[in-house]
Amino acid sequence: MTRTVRGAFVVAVAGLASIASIPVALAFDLEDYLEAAAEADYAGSQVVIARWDGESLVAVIEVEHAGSLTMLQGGRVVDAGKVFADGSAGSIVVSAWKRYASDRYSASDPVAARRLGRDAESVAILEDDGAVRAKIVFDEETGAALTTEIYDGDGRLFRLSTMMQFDSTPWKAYAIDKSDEGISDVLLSIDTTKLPDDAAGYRLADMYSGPDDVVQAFYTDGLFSFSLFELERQAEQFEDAVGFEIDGRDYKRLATATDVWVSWQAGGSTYLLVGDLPPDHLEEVLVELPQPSALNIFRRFWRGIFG
Amino acid sequence: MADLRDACQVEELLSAYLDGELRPGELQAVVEHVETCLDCIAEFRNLKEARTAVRLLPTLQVPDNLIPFAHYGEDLSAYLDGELNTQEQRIIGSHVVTCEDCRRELQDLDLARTAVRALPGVELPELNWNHEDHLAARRRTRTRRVVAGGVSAAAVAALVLGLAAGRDESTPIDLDTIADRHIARASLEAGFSVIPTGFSSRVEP
Repeated sequence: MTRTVRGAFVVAVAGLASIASIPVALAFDLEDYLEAAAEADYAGSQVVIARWDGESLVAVIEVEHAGSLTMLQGGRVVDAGKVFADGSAGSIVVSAWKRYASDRYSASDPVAARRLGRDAESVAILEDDGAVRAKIVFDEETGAALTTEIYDGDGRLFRLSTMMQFDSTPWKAYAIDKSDEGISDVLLSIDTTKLPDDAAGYRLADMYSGPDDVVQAFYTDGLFSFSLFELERQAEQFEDAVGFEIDGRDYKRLATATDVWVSWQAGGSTYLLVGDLPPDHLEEVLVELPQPSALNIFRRFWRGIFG
Repeated sequence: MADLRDACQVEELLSAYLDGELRPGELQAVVEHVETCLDCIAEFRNLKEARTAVRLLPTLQVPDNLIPFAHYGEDLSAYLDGELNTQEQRIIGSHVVTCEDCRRELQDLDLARTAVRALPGVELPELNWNHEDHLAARRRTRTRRVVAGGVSAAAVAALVLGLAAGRDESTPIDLDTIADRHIARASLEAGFSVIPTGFSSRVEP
């Protein structure tokens, strides 16, 4: 990553250092804040910065939220269980789902704050062991998250997203033509699975099959989530991925500012994990999912000599 | 020829004539009759115009709400197999979202297909066997045996060197679809509104 990007990360972290002094107390219901944010109407431009293995990744995202609709850059319109690829033609619809009520996180007492000239409340999200996992500044008027900080297991800032521009009314009126919902894929709920019900605190909420025969298992811990895709075949893994090892087993990772993709092969299947979970959670989760074969003696020998 | 009309057979025969279903004897009789009978000529024209009009009618898709118990039983299998055209795929996709019966049937079908796929594969016997193919196959077998020895030796050498980590033939993954599927489900979670999502950023430098 460039020096400019590293500089941006440092400046952004320094600028938000004041949020770090939030008192810790378990009093407020996190669900209330999340539900308010889900119902907020706003438009904004946010910068997202994340660090993976010392490398900083940056993205600028324009986002609009109106009613149940979330409009993301790239033309995606999301409507609670539906993704419309270009805002008009239907694309993917979840047919059924279960809500998993997690008690892994709680919220601290809110602290009055100001962001972008607006009245706001800063709330610390605490994991069940008392560690601060996130700090979120909610806009008082709309309930939208103006700034979100995610921390890793060592208490270091791992991902920061903050609005650079914010408007309490959406900029554009997005509308999906309901008369022509050209649904191309319906995710059908399935029950049969050999995947674990729980992986390091992430609960298996639903499993789906799709027309492409790729099984999707959705896991959530109440705040973060990931989908584990299982392909019963060898599949090409993404380019530009970074190889890494856990307990002598090979994985490939592609990180972005907002998400992480991990792929590996196990038992003749290809697995692809996609989600927003922090690095320490990712590592804990991977050891509880189907694991790739450990490196054999020859490959260890080869890697020992040539790297 | 009047006996044809008296027997009330002409209309039926004219219809069969238009369908090209008359036997030679009947065809001759109808042609001769139509040439001389003005009523039958009129009847023939009316029949022909009516059929043309029917053929030109647009294909109408009756909305589901007008057929409250409409289901797509047999089409569901074709839907899973991707054998429907785009319009049919959309109609059934929309219907499945609102119709629990069809959704359940689709899920059952999908499970059955998955179970069938899990069965051990059976190699079908070769049909249409001919002598030339047989000889060619024997030649190929002999060649393969010679090549196989060399390949085996090379494979053993590769294993010894620790280079046997070769990948199986693989097919690409559509990452955009994968991302959309994850977003579709994640959007139902409370955290979706506070944890930033922007999969398009993965292609940015």
